[in-house]
Amino acid sequence: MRLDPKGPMKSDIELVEDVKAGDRRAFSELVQRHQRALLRLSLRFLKELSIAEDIVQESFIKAFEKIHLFEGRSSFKSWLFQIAVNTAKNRLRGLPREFVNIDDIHLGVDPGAESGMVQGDFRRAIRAEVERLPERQRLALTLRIFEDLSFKEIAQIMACPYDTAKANYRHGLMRLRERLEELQGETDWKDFETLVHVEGGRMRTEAEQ
Amino acid sequence: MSREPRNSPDDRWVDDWWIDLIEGESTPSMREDLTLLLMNSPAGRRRLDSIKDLRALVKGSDEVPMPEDGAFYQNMHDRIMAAVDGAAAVRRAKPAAAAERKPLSAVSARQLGFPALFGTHTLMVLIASATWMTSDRSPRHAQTQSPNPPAQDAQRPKKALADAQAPADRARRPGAKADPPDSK
Repeated sequence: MRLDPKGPMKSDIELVEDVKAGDRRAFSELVQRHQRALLRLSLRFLKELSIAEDIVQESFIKAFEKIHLFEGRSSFKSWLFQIAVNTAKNRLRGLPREFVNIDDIHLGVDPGAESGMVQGDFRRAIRAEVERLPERQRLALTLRIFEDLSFKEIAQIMACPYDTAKANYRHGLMRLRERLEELQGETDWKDFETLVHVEGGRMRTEAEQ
Repeated sequence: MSREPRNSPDDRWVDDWWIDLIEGESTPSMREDLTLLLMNSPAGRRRLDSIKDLRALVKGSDEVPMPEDGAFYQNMHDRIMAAVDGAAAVRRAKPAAAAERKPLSAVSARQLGFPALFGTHTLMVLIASATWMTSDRSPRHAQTQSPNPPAQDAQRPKKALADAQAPADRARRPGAKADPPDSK
């Protein structure tokens, strides 16, 4: 649903102004634009689709009710993400661990496997280690690497200074690296370094292309 | 991923520089310095590449099972808008309801009318009377609560009154002489 298919697409900030003026359709447009990204973000915290949908809905309702407080000093998307992150955190407090735990992810490697780890295990191990990072480091890393947000946006979502957001990201990445090296020692991953280099290099090349 | 020792604070600083370079957060002068360093330091180049590889690996590990069906998102949008409309309706209704609910002080006697005012007054008097009758001060309550028998209790004030009135009564009795005044 576009506001005016013939006219130029309005920016988020313009749509927010329209919503403040009482235009319901403008909010509908904002929902269309951001619901997918918000669902993806929610699914990172809460593995259950139905709960993630609830978070998205609740976040949009809160955004609508508080939209008069949005002053446009940051992007609407990061403001919305901030609401969603806080809503998800509140929800996580009331949930049993199985919705958010990564314990069910198989980290170990078959002891009899001589050929080293397969790509799937390796990726699962990385995902599991990302989830084991301290909350703020994980949030900074997730928002930066997975959501491609700027540090300014991340700082706003995390409600912290810019440098703190960057520091959380750096520490998270380095901690992840250390942890993966420890895992290398704990397992039979003989070709760990090669795998990192080859897999990482391949993904990096794909990303750069 | 190289296994060079990097636990010293200096190494961590250098890692921060590499990360800033990868993330496009370096200042122009820092970028120049790091570029120069990379040209002369194979170890630095390996380190930078390993961090880049790690970042790419983390990004490649992303696996969020997102619904692909367009109808799913249309339904979600419709549900959100219905919920938003509901919230907006509640918000509109709240001030209206608040305006309708006037405090009692805002209601004048004229609006109530004389009969209503009289009725209220009567009701308050009745309530006050009932409260007083059931309280400790009421005579009924004293009768039921007193440890002495009611007959004795009732006679006490009568006896005291009779004692006080006895000289006067004797004076008023026909044929009786009043006590002579104290001549001493």
